Amino acid sequence: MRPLLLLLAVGTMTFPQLPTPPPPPPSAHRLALEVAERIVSQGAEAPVAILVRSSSQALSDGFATVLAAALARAQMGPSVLNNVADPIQWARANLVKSLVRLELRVENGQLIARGDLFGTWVNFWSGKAVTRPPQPAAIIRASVDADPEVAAILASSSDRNPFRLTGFASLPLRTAALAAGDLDGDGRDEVVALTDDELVVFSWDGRVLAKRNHRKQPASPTPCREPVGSVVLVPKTRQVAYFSCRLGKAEVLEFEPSQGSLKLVETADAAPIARSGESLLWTKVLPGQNTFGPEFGAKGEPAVSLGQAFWTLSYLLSSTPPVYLAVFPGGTGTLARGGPSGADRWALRELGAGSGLVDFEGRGVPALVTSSPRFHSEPEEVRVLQLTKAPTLKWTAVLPIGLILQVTGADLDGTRRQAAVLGVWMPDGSGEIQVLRSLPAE
Amino acid sequence: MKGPKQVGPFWAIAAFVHFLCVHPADAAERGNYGGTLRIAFTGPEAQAEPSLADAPADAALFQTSFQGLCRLQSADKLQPVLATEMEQTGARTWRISLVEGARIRSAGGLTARHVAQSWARLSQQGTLSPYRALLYPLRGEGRQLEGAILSSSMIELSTAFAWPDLPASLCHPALAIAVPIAGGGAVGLGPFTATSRGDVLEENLSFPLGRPYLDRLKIVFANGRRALRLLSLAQVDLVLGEAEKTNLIRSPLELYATYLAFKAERTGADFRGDFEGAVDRAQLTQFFAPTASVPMFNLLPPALMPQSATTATRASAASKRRAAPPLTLLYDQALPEQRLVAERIQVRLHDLGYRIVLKPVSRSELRKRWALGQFDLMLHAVLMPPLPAPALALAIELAGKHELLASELPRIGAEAEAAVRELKVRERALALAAQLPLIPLYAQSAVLSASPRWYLPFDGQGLPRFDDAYAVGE
Repeated sequence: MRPLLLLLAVGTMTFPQLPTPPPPPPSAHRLALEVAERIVSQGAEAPVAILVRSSSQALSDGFATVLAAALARAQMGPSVLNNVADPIQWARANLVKSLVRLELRVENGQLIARGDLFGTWVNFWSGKAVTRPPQPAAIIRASVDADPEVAAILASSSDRNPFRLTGFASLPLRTAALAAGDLDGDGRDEVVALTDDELVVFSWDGRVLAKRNHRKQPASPTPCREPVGSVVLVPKTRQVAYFSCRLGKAEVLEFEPSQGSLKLVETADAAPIARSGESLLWTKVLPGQNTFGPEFGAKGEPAVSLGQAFWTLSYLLSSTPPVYLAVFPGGTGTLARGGPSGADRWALRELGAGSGLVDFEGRGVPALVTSSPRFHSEPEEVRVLQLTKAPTLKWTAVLPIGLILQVTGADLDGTRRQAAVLGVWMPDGSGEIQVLRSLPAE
Repeated sequence: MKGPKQVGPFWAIAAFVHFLCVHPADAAERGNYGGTLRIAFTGPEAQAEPSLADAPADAALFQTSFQGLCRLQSADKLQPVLATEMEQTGARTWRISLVEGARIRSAGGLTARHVAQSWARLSQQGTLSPYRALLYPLRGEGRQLEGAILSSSMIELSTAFAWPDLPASLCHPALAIAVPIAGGGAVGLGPFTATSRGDVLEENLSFPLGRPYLDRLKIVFANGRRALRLLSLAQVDLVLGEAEKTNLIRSPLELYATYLAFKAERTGADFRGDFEGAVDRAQLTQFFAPTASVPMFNLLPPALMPQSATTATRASAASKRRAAPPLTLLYDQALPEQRLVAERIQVRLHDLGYRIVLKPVSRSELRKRWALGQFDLMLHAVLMPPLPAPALALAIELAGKHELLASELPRIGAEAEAAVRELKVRERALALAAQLPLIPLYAQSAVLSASPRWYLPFDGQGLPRFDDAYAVGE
């Protein structure tokens, strides 16, 4: 083996922690004290939970800290809710008796906090009915003159956020695999989602173009414990190849845009995992497991091995040279770029199962979008890493609800600037496809 | 090849796969397959009878190779397991389709007949079980289910009165499907299958929910102290049924309820009052049944209804009972805490003139004596379903008042709203408490200790789900 290939490690990388929030400016401090007074005077029952929202996470955190300190001095046993999906349920589960929900904003030079205070205690005679007690219950509104600094933070924070997460489509079940590609030749990518029940082709704006229902097909004798599969699109031949672990087989379909139909071309036992030009690359599936490989290759050609079974394989062929990302069980991964020699490769760790390469700029330079490395992380986190030199964390945000299962890049606007398409598993068991777009710089 | 533009993507992959540098991470978002979970089990080997493997540790282990039609993910969310669908076809009718092609080793394909036979055992003489109360709402009380079989993979269940909790009741571990085999014992269908080595269970690749994450379970039978020693020496990964305070994992649901059943004609009419005056439940749970137990003052455990402490009654005169014959207190020999509790009861009631003889018996013997009513006093524990209405049915049955079910259950089942039904159950539980010859003592949850490198979830019944367990970290 060529020595060059053995000495290509960049090393292990751990993602940096977010800095702690700065102390809030004086006007936010004054407002917090005023709000604390209102909460106490409205008869809030201890312990109290505080939830603060604003367009600046740092300001919300700082405000909540000061407010909590003031409430603690008043013996209210405060706790601060940060990124909790369902604050009321959280409050009930943690035996909190009152919940304060506040939103901060600047209007006409005033920093305003408004929201409500209510009791979360459930009388046990209510049984499972989530009744509310008669008190405390109050509307909280307070304002102070805003410092220019606060006004600037709240006015600009939404603009400074380089990404925006929006909804795209909903599915009754969580997604087993996602892929995107221009199947109808209109210059914009279609998104194809696989669930245990169906395969759905969505247009760039989230309309359903075609569906293939496979619910009635017999299940595999060795089904998977969780929805697992793969989808690969070949835009030139309009082929949609997918493998569903529930069915234990793969199908290659041809998408007919004018009729909105998917025609079966062939079936296979192996799973399509990537493409090379117009040909599909296939891999083995470990029976009943959520992993593929480790070997894969085009039909009739010698297979190559990743050395160990992998969860996902993501690639950006428009990049020069092409970039590949494999994620292995345990959250490790390998990122490789270039040709057979001279390429640089990075070993990564703490990747989430939902990881993919996305070319946000449309210049063939992918970014790595990955979910939280923790199992069933609450809340889920989405992280964007720049890959220009060593991987560096560019942006991170908390997903309001759900867990990210898959990430793929899609050019939804026909501008070559890709958006990250996320397969999100919602708490009720359904699936949602969300889109993370990079906002152009001012 | 002349330049980078001509490098084909396939070759790029081929190049990149030559390099592999794996750094283990702490955890990741998806489950990890593979590995062996070594379990030290502190109880005696459970019998292959679902209704007898009902102590939390027994049930957890039993479920690895015997599953029912469904299981509860939480108290109100059920997951079909051996059923594909449980469809309500009428106000009181459910049509249940079984998984196609599921095979039970040494018993062939799973059929509706297996389900009917398994459930019928709960009502048969010799295997009569208090868990038959779960099937009481069915027409014919679930005794003649042969008529409900529509085809080999479909069964239609009708209730004699409205009983909205029927589907959830069917997920109780005591209703797991067990097929008796020649030569004794039984076989079932679960995420793991027994091997020729009795202490090793292998993954079942064709389990309808998908194979478990683990490749195998290795069971070591050991007493509590030895089991914890094995854990500290890293010779096992998990101890089931015993824990030290430092590594205790307990299920949030205390549903294994222990009662003192008595025969008033033998103990005398004042027995309940004397007991309440003499025995402090808080002491029982603190000193005598300390592992994951909570005192139980009402007919249903605290997980199912709020508890109100019973007012202690002044003990009656002891002299009257001096000449009375001694009473025998039966208890389950497989549960060490029951021996301690029985001894405590013996001591406390001795001062009031009760002469009590303790007699440990096997669980099957205990249930036989319960079925025949041949006992004076009996410590009797059952695994309550996590829903109040079926739990009350089970408590009434346990008290030996099968005939009361006919008048109590239809009134409760008539309430369509779960919250209203729950209130009704509480009301009836309070009203019935004094009539039933049953004194609630304490409720326990599944208890285990494990090395922190295992992810181990619990189900809606409060039992660990070994098929969803896997190793995390290094």
